[in-house]
Amino acid sequence: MSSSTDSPTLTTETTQLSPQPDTETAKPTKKITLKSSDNQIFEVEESVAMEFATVKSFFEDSPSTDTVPLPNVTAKPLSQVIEFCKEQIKFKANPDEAQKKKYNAEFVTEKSDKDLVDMIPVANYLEIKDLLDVLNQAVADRIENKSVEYVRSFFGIDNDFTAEEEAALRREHAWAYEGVDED
Amino acid sequence: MSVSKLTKKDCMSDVSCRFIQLPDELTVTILKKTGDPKTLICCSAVCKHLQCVVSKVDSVALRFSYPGTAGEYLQCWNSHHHIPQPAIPSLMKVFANLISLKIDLCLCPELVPLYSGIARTHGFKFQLKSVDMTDKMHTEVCLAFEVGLLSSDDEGMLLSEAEAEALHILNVKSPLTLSFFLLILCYRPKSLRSVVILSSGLLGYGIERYLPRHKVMYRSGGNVFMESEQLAKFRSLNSTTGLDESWLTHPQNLICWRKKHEEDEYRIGERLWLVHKWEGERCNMKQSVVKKTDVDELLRAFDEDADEQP
Repeated sequence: MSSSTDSPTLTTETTQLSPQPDTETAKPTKKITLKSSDNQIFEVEESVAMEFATVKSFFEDSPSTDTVPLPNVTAKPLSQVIEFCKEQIKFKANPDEAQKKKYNAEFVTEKSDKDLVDMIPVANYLEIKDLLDVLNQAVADRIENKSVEYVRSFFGIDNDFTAEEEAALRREHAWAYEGVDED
Repeated sequence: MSVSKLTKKDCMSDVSCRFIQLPDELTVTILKKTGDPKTLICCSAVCKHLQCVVSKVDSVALRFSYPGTAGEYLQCWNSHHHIPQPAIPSLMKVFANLISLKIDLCLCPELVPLYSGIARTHGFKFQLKSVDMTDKMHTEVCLAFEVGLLSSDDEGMLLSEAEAEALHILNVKSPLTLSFFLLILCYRPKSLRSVVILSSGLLGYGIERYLPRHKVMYRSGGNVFMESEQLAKFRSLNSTTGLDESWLTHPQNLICWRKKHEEDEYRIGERLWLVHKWEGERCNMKQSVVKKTDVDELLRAFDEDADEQP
């Protein structure tokens, strides 16, 4: 993503992720730079970055750092996680449980299965407990009462049972294979 | 800790397999949030890794219906899913590290008459709790049977004659639920520490009822809970004279009275329950004193308010 041909994408990302708060407020807020494993740079406000427990303690240990490398996190889920945390900051400033619940529900509803599953390791790695709870519940809801095949494709998991093993499981738990929801 | 976490060079490459690489505890958390054993069983058949993760689940709630005499599964009041009873051995194998197990046992309406000869009109609530299962295995059984409707009028509290026939709770000392518990004991994983079995017959005087003697419809208001001796005393006094309501407010005469205040066109009657409790270690079950907290627990377990929604 660092080549010049990609610059339009990069520009959109940047505008989307740092909506020039300096023009709105007189006092410039401190920015923190996060670098994803695919070398994308995210400039976020300090308050947002502090939502990431992992980043927070990184700064506590070495305050002079200006760029935080996130070797386990790719750009797409990271941008979604940042989006979520930005909203949570607003709810922290103006607590409104109903609105927060509504936002959280919408946040997961509009995400694809893959996006949700990809965000879980990121939320876990960055230790964002609220987001992790929201994601866990959303994933649980999506796999509830679904077929084995559905769950496999949902998580992108390869079946490593032999045909005999699988047939045996199916026989043993025949009741669980009945009446599952349509995919 | 976090520094090493951030500087660690363990980039996970294959995105599709990231889910598999999550810590097991996190995957267990996700799976448990489905709150559904059926989904867990399906997940255990997805791949060997998930099979292993599912086996780490330490608590589940299972719902069974009690099979009819011919082993068929009868329709329940609710449209919820039941696990067939023959699935128990294989289920216990899947949840090999289970610590606590909660079971809802639905007894279907057709079965209620078979339930130790208790008439269909009698609602009941049953709870069996067994803890400390490796060592002492302390077990408590609490059983409440609805024995009639108390109607209050000018003459005082009355229990209608039809219901005055004694219902001997001892006849139901070994109800179906106990045999279900023994079945669980046979197949339980070694790790299991506690089992709670709930069973409930929703029929009874729950919603409303016509009492011919008073020629009015009664709607159940509150619930009065008594032990057998208290009930016997109440019956003998009640057969001669209508009892004053104040008799029921005396703590000696009942376990508790859960009142419910609502205004409507019906006359309010109180559901009268006979409560019995046994407890003991292993299989030495002895009759035990029913406490108010036992009733609270029994009612909470069955979500009393939900049951009474028309």
